[in-house]
Amino acid sequence: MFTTTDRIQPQKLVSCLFMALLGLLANAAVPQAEVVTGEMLLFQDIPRVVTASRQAVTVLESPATSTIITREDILHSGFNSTSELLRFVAGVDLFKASSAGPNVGIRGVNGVQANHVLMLVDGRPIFNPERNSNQYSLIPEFPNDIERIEVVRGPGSALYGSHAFAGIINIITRAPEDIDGIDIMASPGTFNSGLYNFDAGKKIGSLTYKLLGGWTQEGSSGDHGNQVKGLLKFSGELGYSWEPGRRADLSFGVTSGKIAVLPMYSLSDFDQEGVDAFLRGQLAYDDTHLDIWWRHHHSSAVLNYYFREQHHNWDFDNLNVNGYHKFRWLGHETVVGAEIRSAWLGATSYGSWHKQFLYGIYLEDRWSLPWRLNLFLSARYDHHPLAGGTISPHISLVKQLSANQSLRFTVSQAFKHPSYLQNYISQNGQIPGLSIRYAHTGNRNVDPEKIVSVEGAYQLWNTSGLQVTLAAFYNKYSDIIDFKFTKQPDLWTLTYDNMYDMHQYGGELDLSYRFMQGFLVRFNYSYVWKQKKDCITFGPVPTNQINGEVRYHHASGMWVDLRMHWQDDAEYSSGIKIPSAAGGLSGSSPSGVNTVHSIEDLLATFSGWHEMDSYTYGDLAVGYMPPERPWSITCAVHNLFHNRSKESPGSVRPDTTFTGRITWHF
Amino acid sequence: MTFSAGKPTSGRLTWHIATVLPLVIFLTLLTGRTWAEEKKTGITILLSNNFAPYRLALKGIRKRLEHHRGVAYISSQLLDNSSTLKSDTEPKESGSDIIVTIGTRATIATLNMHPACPVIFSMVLDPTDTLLKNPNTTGVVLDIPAYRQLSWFRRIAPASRRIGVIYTDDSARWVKNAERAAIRLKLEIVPLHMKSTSDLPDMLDMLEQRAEALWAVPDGKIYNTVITPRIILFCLRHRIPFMGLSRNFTRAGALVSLDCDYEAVGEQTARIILAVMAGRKPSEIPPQVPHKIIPSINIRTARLIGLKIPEDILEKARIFAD
Repeated sequence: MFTTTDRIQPQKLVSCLFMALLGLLANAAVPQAEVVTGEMLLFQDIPRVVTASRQAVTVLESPATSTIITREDILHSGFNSTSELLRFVAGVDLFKASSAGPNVGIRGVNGVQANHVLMLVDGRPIFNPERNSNQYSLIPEFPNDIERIEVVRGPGSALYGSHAFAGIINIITRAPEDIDGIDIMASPGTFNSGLYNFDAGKKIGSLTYKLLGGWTQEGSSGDHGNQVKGLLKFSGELGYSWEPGRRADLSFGVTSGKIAVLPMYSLSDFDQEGVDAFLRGQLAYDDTHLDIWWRHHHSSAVLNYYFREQHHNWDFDNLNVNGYHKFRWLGHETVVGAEIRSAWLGATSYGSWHKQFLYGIYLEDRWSLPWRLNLFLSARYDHHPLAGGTISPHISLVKQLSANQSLRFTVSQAFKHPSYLQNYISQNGQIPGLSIRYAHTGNRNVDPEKIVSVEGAYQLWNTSGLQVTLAAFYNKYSDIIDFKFTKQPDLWTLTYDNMYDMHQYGGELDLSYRFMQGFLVRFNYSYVWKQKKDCITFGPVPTNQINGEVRYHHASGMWVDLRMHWQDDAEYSSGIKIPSAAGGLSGSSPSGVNTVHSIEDLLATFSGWHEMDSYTYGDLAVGYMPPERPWSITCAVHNLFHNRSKESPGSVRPDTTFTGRITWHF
Repeated sequence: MTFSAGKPTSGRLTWHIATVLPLVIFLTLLTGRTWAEEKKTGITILLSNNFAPYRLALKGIRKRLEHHRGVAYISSQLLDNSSTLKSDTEPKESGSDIIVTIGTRATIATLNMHPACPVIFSMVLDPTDTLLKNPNTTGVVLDIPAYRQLSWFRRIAPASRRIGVIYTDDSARWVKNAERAAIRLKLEIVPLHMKSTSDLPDMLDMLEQRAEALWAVPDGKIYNTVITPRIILFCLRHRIPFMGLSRNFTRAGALVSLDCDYEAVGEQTARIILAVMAGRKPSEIPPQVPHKIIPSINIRTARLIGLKIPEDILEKARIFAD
């Protein structure tokens, strides 16, 4: 356990980790006694990864470094917010710019906008096109509805296009036949938090159906339980398979309520209220897949926009069509596909509705070569009406060293299109109390941000239950978009441009070991070195992070799960130039907005470098799932050590929270 | 007045009868119940683990014994992680006349602690000879005979006549059984002996050269979560039909697997329990193989390999299409 006072000398840390790795590898090299025997051979699940490739591949053969958060992990954690679990994944950076939702980045690319990771729910993106940030209100939070979460580290634009910049997080929900009945869950917590839902699903002949509904609320631990999130969710799915391999699915979802958000141009977090809905149809016909979805969003808020309160509306509609076909030829497995998206967006600060039509074509080929080599070649071409065409290649060579070890070398490029805000925003006005006008204007000539990544990885999956992943990467970024501020005596102009190039390098060590049928021990260490750049894309990301977990599940159904997270202090730039020019924020808080003090660190009174303290975070969950009983109970303590160091620059200091949960299956 | 004195006597008698009779009936019922309870057979069911298949087997046992509640007490418990029973008293002392074990771990743990106690086992895959020849044990194994498996394989992939079997010393007996079955089915077994995990690439190369299909035998050194996906992918890439060990193999990409119906295995075990309760000794009842088999077929794999699965098989099978 590390605390802020126990400073670690990097050399010692690296030496210890290296020795630990050597010890584990030496252990892995000797024949293992614990081999699956008896009927366990029949019950064992054969692991696969799908997000890193549109083809089903084993983890050892995956063309990217990935981590899977299993259903078992989710249920044992006791978290009411599944996104909190991402904190414990190697290479993932998580902080909270507002109390309601986390900002998730991968390999050092994380900031207030947190828009460089593509987050998918069953393969459907949930980003908000206005700022390209992931819409955290759409993350499925009901633990009994999630089958697994796949976290892919490294660029993924070759398959998924824009936004899969630093990585991909795919949340896969449970199939109706796996629910097979009705689950009801109630999970109250301290500080006015709670999660209450039902989940019904079944397979009846060729038909499958699923219905899910629930309410989730969260209170700010630093503000006496003041509600920062209250969401009502309802979704459903109907599937029909008229022949094996041929299947049609229709699904829908509605999320309604409010959530506290903190965009960069607001001086305080505010409640955004509204509704987000989708309708989706999927068709699988042998090796051909078609996926069509439509999404509608409407929300509104009163926010502190440039020193005064304004009522804002946001509306957008997306229609997305994605189709692909898989085939095999001469030792190759190939996927070809195309995706089109028609997006409309209108908001108070945009003047009028803006429509974009985007399209992309992609190809992925896996070629089985001699010497136990697999070569993955992927490429995707994307077209944006303003930014033009972008090509994203990906080459990955995977060498199987033995039956349970592999070595991989990957070179890939990814990109992120500019957001609607960066392209179209059009806001003019007068700064109260000053004879200065301001203009916040989009730039239609801005290019997409790009990343070129080189990565090497070693993976070991031992039959004894030991899993090791060691990865190292070097990333080169170009055309990073940031504010461009110009100041004239009577006019301040804020726009966007491709401002920076920079580079990073780092690595991760991820260990997991299961033993004695009930024990699980996990450890991971992440390191990232960043070039200092005064931009908002690279926020408070620590250089060193360590996560650990010890879990014991007794045969009687009792379990205990202890998780630890420690992160280094993080240096970051405010990235905000307006306050600098304004000469401070004093007196700028409008009446009725009382949280300006909480973001003063973020919107600093001067542009420069700041430090977020190192902190330790612990979670303890205990539970009981008695055999032959349809119910289970879980109790969890989060922030176990009551560490009130700020885990983010802008939000309140976290407090210790408690949650309880009871689940019943009918 | 003298005669009238009889009325109160008669009334007292009636009163006595009215009071004592229900008491007698109650005591009779009570003692009768006690007597019946004393005659009940105590059945302790011990589960190796809390896995769903074990629970299904338990459900099957309970379902079958439901109608015999009047003559049997049924209790169940889990083996703890150290493979020991929670109570180390003799089964008879703890009120158990019959011990039923579900899974290998529970069976071995029980026999280690109570070697002389009659045990009826269920859901045991690939049991050792020690277990099969123990006069105090009998039960239902999960092994599907080689002949039955290979005959299904031949129906699904009729063009594949040379069946490869990768095995280690631990699973050598399966090869002998398969060779005997293959003669009757006019198939040829191609044995591929794997000495260590590092031999796997060579084994797969030999499989491609010498055999037309691959049949999995229960062997944890080969068919574990690390190596199995590699074997499945190899078979897919080289269009080799692969018969796995369970539907989990089929879901992951094997062409076909045969599964036991675990609840039916439980019911089958219950029939043995009833036979023992009726007075038969375990040594008189030979261990049984599962009666009810459910094939699972991966239709996508079949298409990749270029196989057309007959409709009558598809109707019976559990289908995987991903």
